[in-house]
Amino acid sequence: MPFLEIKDLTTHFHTRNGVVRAVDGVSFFLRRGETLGIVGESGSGKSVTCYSMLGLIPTPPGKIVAGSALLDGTTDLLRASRKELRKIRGKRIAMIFQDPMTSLNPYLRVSTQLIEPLQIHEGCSKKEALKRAVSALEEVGITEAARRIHAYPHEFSGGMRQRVMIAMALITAPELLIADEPTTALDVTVQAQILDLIRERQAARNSALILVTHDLGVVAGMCDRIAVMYAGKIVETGTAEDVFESPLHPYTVALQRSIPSLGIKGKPLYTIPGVPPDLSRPIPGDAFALRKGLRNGGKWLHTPPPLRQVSETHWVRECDVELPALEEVKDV
Amino acid sequence: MSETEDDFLVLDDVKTWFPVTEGLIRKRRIGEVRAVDGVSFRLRKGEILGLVGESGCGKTTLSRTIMQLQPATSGRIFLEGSELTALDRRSIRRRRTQFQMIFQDPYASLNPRMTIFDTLAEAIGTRREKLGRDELLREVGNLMLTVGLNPGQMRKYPHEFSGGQRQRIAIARALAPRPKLIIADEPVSALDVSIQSQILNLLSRLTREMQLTMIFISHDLSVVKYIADRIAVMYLGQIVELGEAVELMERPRHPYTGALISAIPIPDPKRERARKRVILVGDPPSPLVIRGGAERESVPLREIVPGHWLADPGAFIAERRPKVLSR
Amino acid sequence: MIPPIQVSASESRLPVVNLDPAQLEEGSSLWADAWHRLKKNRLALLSFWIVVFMGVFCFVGPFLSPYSYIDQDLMRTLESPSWAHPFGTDDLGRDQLTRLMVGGRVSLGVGIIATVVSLMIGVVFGAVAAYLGGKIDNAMMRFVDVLYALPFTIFVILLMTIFERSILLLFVVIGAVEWLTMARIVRGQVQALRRQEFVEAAISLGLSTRRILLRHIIPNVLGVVVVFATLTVPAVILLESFLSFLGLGVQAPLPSWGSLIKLGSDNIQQFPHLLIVPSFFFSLTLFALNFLGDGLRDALDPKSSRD
Repeated sequence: MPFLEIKDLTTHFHTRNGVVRAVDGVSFFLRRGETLGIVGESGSGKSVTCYSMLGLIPTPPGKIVAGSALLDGTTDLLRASRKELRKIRGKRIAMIFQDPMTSLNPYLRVSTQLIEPLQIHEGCSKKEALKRAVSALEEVGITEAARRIHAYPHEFSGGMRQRVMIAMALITAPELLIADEPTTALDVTVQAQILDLIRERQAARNSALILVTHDLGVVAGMCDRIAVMYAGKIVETGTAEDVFESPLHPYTVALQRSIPSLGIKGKPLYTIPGVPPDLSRPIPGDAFALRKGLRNGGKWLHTPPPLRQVSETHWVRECDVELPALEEVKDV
Repeated sequence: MSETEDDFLVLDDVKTWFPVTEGLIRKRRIGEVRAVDGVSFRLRKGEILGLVGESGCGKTTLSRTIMQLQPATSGRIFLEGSELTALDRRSIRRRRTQFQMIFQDPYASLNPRMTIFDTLAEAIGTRREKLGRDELLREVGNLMLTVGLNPGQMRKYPHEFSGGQRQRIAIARALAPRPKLIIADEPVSALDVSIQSQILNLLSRLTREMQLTMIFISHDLSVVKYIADRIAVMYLGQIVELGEAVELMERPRHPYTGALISAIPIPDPKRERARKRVILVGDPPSPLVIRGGAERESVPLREIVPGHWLADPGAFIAERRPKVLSR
Repeated sequence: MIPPIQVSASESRLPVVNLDPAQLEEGSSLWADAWHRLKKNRLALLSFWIVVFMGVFCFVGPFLSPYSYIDQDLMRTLESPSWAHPFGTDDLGRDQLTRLMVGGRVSLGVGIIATVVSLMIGVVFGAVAAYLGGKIDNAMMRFVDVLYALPFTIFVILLMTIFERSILLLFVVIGAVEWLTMARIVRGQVQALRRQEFVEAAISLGLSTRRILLRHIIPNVLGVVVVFATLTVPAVILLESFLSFLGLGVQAPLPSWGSLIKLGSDNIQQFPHLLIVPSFFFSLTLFALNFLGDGLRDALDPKSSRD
């Protein structure tokens, strides 16, 4: 029984320009203590998937049209009442957001924000909660925690603020941690520290982790399994070894090929021709095949391609596209 | 330093300090933010220099100082032999077409109320060629084609384009005055991975074709390794290591450089989990210096191997307490 | 989609393009977007039409009236509304409807002109101060602070008592006060704009300060300015009516809504129509202008224009 099971999650946004199908039939599962990486570029639907799970999508203009999100086999997060969701959020599932500057309330002291989840979810007294908050800060590597906890967020640096966010997320020992691009806004040295910290704290409590990012290097180091998203759908999913050593979907392959660290000086970098699709138009078949400049066999233009199981752990969505070879890459 | 004819851009002990004052009426100077604290290097024409470092290391301030958007506190900057730092404001303004900048944020770097045509025509106008209406249309169209945009869209406004397209427009604007030096400040950091490679290819090709000299600032070392000829690593306003790009990345000599490189995650699960990493403790330091506090000395660069400059390996690194970790 | 453009390679690296201006796709500016959004806001749209109606009513109406605003008919004083005089007559037998329309001309006129004057002075002052920064900015804004501290009402009363009470003086005096707030608002906006990269790009091109201010800075503060102006007009009208109420506004027999209201309030017991009608028109116009200003602010909100 997986700890979290998402089935056919579909989220639409009703905008001025039409209905944007941000998440379109996404399914995945997560075991206790496991780390799942959701990889994709902007517009792939990776963040919206996580926000949908936690009921954080503003409705309107968003709407969760279909799907289920079973936690522990018992509670469907998408159908839970507001009251039930509030008990789960912050206690059993915690989230770390991307921008540490805007995810902490600038008007409240850090101490206030840290003890809040304890007071609400565990009914702690202020004194007791404060003690736990200080040790939570110490655990994430903030020195002189007892003194600095009473400061305001702007008195901390970006890296420190992200640590505070992590402390806040972990303070109730949640069973699932969702991190949405937690290190994108940070320096690479601080990113290494923060990822290390997340991994360490996660292991200490055997929490599951969903890590949403566009950075393939980050998922390589952190994740047991990876799901690659494109245009609101999962196009490939498997263990880290599956996805990196035998990627099957052309998008996954192309993404890996275009990483600058693989570039050869003097030769153009590999690029994916065309542009990401306009999700406000209905796409009857394979969205990736619609990119201009990709040769495709036409098999999945009018029917949505299904997921095919390749091995016990490895699934890939059918795709009839042939990627250009490196020599054919035009840089414009 | 002796000058050679090859020198296109020369920086000689450039410092940019921002004073910090106290007091309401009679302001006392209590210290300064030493954003750039003694930077020297020389670039050849057509060279691409990668400038890397953590936030607060001074790379952005350095780029703005070179661009004359921020006056240097001391030191000299020479462009093709003439000393920029000695010129008055009017003379600098006349020369501005020779050096242009590409900014990081594609959303903020274009005037939202001007069409692409307006923006590019304005930039072309600085060439001081008398162009008729039709010729101007053609020039703008050409420019757009050069950066991979459809000229039919020149009447559109910036918000009607994607981030990658806006960055192309910004590149077109930077190229329009026919500059000789381009400073690109994190030009691809705000873009998706698949767009990044397109823009990097574009910049690479245009720099070669137009024989431009470029300073490419990035926090992403793998990007810099790909595009730059040489790399300069900055820390606390000074350069700690400067050398040929591939050589520096594969055999870094300064421990700080080594730590920076080590921090980059490798997109290969087996190698990433097996390798030893160097983790620095704490945040990048602040360049703020208060009078009476600890004095910070300039650390000179020594050329240890021709073309490879190194600051004292013991400098700076101790306060970050590098730890070597393996999983 | 690629438009049919002739592209041919030539010796130079750049291809030669033959462009047909008619084939260029039109863009939609931020103003056009804002207009769309405004049209969807029913209250703002209604307010807009009310304002337009008032404008036509006051500026065109008097030409259609058989009476002029000074025609006295001492035989028919203080009459209630009738077919001949839809809004009745006042104590000198003057037709209220006509006087209402002419009064509206004065009130709206003062509102608009004084606002435009304050706008022009304030925008330039604020933009220059913020753009130049440093000591100049300091000096300019301290000047504004000093003027701000002057007790405006006393100041106006003094001026109106010393000099002749002409409309021109009214315009000048009110405009001279309102520009201060506009200057402060514009300065704040420009300070924020100054740090945006496109302004730095313009500086890097070597453009003159004048050009940067005119092409890059001011167009981008116009949104805020327009909203503030729409909200200044009712404030000015209110100010003018306050002065008229004190007896310091325009010279009789020229009416303004304020003086009409004063007249009405003197006769409120016996002839309430003299107060009710001008008050109604006055309030309606102010409400409409305020809602329009609100609607404009929502429509021009940059956050909603980014998808």
